[in-house]
Amino acid sequence: MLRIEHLTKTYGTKKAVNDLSLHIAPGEIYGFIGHNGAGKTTTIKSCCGLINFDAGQILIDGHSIKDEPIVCKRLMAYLPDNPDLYDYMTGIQFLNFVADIFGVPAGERTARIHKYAHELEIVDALANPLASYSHGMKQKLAIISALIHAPKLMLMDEPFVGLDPKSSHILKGYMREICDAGGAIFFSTHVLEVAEKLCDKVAIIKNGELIRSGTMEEVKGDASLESVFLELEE
Amino acid sequence: MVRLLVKKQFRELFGNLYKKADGSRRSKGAVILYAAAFVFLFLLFAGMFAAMCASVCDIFHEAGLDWAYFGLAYLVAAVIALVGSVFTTYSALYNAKDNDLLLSMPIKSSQILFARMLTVYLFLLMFELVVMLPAVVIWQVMNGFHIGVLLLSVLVAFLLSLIIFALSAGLGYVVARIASHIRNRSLAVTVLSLVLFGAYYYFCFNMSDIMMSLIANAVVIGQGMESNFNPFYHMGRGALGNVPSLLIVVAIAAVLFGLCCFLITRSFISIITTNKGTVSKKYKETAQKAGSASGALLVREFRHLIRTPMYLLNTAIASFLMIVLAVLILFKAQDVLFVLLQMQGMGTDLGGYLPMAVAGLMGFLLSMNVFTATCISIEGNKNLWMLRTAPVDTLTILHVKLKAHLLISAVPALLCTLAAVFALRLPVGTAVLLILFVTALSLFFACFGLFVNLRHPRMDWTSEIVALKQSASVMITMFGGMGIVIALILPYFLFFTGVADWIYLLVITVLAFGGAAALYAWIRGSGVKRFEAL
Repeated sequence: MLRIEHLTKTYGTKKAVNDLSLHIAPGEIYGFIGHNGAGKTTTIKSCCGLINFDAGQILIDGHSIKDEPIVCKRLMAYLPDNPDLYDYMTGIQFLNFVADIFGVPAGERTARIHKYAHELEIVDALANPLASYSHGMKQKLAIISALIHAPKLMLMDEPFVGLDPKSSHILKGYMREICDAGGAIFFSTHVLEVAEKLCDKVAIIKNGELIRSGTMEEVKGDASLESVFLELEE
Repeated sequence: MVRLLVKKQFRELFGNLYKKADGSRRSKGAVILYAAAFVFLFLLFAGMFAAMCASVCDIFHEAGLDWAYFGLAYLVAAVIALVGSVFTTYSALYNAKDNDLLLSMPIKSSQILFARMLTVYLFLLMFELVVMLPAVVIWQVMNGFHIGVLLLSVLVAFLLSLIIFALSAGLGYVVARIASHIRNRSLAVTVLSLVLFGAYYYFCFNMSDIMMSLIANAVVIGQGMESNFNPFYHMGRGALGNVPSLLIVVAIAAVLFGLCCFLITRSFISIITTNKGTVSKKYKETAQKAGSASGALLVREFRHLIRTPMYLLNTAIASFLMIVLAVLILFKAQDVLFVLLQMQGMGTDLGGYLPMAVAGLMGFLLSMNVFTATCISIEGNKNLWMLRTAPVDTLTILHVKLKAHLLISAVPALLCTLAAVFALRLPVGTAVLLILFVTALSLFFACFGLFVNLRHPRMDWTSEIVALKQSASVMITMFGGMGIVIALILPYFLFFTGVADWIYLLVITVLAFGGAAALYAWIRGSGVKRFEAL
């Protein structure tokens, strides 16, 4: 579903990501962990087409993000770490805006908004402007907007930050649903317990380079993910 | 601490000078070139005012009315500086995005305020200097060097800047005070600003009549200025060394500036921390309707414009003026005709001048609408990700922005032109060409603004006002646009009055269409790449 091959991105003289390769298959939840500034966000943003990278290629369901960005963007959804949404729209206006952009038919969007807004308990607030939303509410709305076109691939940067425990639990359920339907999830997190319990595979990045990746068992063996991560970081 | 805060403000103000759109530093050569472009623009407009000053300086001097020369210069400087800053203060002082962050730090609110006020002050000072610098220099050159007059005229200019600041900040204070107590803040700010703007334009409209009569008759100037612009009368006299007048100006400046500082420092915290919130509505579920992607993008542009008062007022104000003008033209055609006659100083025989005057007026109004010059910067780094991850090709996004500009600008411009054509009973051929010219110029300015904004985007702002008023893009587009209108229209009055108006209109229409086509070609190619590299 997502194939990153020899990705390299440089900012000035600093290599933010250096020759990184990863392959995320359909049905996989892939965790991406690393210290602050390790290159996680750069990698995720490169996959979304938000950053022009220097070398390598990124394929989404076989399509190159550089050569066929529109096709790729139709297949995926991106959830940033700090969802700054359009403050001048109401919640429902924003969801309809995203649905129009992705060409979601009226019936499907109505059903999805109903389902997700009820489950995330944000229905009542949909008539209010986003400027009045709390961080958590914006995060919930961003999740609904990401799910509204039923993406095959979800790229998420620290998706659990700002969510209450119930919403975090619901989001984990959505992630699993997407994978069960043949999609894939690639997300970064600092919460190693979440990664350990939720992910099928995990990749650890340090100073822009991939230092370990594979199934959870391959990466951590009998130890905890936290102890392996800390050991690799030293 | 103040130094740090001022440095932060300056970094925001001059960020474009040192940084590219992608955040990387410009080379030294690029910084020099960029700064040179700013200086050139400043000198260009200062040069225009210098030419105006030079043409009237002798007349005033020979009539023994040098004080009136300075008084008039201070008046023009005040009008221009106030226009440039009046809508900046509310956003810059009370609505900055980093107010919460700074207030949570161990910094005195007065220090935060001082740094903000300094930025606003420097901004209006720049506008004032465009007029006062040439006015002072021309007087010294034409009447011999007088150190006393030089020092005093500069001192009065400084005092005037304090008065303008007080007026500008005072208006911002009124808007902020009322807005903080109203639930629908966005609407309140828009309505209040429009009311203030209307009052301001009413004042300017009347002032232009008085100025016309002042210029027409030098003898009337003394009485006119003394009775109508008392402060400027004293400013003019003060610049020439009249001590009582100087003391009056000092007193006015001290009182207004002192009062402004007192009010703002006393109320700053309470204003920015008073928030009645928004009206909370409960959403009632209904079936949603689907629309096209480009339609959604267009609606988004208008929602942004309507929900953000500063955006609307700074980028589309001329549309309101054009609508008001269209109504005025239809109902007061004879009066409008008279005003145009006065403006052009052409006596009663209009000949072919009238269509060109209408073309010039529409050109100036169109150049004031700078929607496309801000539409990229206003996305900011924080919101750009949504457009960049949308499965919509970049050209569609840029097309939507051009379309929004045309709907905002071209529609009222064409209505206004049609009203003028109808009321002034212009010949059919001339009328058609005038309408074509306005259409071509609307297209040109839409493309010109987008071209400039794509070349000079300002994405790293903490207050929207930086993108709306203090960015290179807006400056270049607005002043450059006015320069282009002058370059298109002025040659007719200077060199081609013998040429039939329809021929001249045809030529400038072709030029405007050609310019628009060239800019559009750039947007389709390089513009798309620049947007994708943001």
